[in-house]
Amino acid sequence: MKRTFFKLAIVDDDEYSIKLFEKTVKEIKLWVGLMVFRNESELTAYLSDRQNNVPNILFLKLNLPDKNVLVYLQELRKQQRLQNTLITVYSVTASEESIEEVFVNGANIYMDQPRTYEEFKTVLEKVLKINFQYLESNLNIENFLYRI
Amino acid sequence: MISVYLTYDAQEVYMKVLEECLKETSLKYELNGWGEVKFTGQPDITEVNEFKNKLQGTGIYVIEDPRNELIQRIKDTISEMILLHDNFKSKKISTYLTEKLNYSYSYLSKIFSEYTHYSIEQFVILKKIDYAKKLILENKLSLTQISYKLGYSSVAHLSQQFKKTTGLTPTTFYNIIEKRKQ
Repeated sequence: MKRTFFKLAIVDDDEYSIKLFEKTVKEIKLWVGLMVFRNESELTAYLSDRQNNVPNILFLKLNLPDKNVLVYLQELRKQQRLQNTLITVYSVTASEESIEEVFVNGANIYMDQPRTYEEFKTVLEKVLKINFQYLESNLNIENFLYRI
Repeated sequence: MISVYLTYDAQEVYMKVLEECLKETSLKYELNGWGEVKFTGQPDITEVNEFKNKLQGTGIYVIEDPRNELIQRIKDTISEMILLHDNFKSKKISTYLTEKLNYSYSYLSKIFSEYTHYSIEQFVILKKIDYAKKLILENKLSLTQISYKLGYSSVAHLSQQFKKTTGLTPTTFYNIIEKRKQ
């Protein structure tokens, strides 16, 4: 059976976080590919080329290096071709208020980023698996909110 | 009247038509002789589906993987069971699926989790909560009525499962979606 291959993209300038993503994606037995962008301008440039495939699942760091994440979420959600992209925002710490704002502005998932690799792997695996269900089944993406 | 007599190589015709359709996409591919197109690299699933649509009317047909189809039937049967809640309350999911699909539950569970990375039970919960969300947002039924409709023993049970599945309480969920509309 030909399995669906999912494209993940992350926007983060922290090398340690990037390593956690890369290591997890390599180790978990799920069909995913990872694209890394160091800041939002890199992702914007990538998306502006219509030839490039849009990611199915996008991870944004809460404190983006060069842009407010809420403004960026609104911009991304306005793009027609990103309508079916599931967006996760993650951070090591965040106030309840900012988590709610992230959801209101278009994120599907808020993820508390664990510090250790083992915990990170467990959490990311859960996030990816629930994303797969939404990408492959007849579930309502507009109402898809998940906090972990 | 003029008659022209033709002879043709079916494989050559097949390859030409196939390549025409493939050229219109940006997918990278390998053709493995008769009847298989392998998309290499990281193929975009939407483009693969577009390619399948392009084949319609060419006389080339896509053979769907029978296991893939079974997964879809399991999902459809679960949805049907949740929406027809009378069946839902009186029957166990395993009995319902076995009766509808004529496979043993252990076979269905195995194939389902192998291909979706979720167990049937987890998927049922996800689907029920997805339906609960729809009902919450419609704002016609109370949470108590929703929990009854979906076969929960109490509101507390529904709220607990909602929180476990989404990480949010039903109220927080409702408030966020309402704020999005503003």
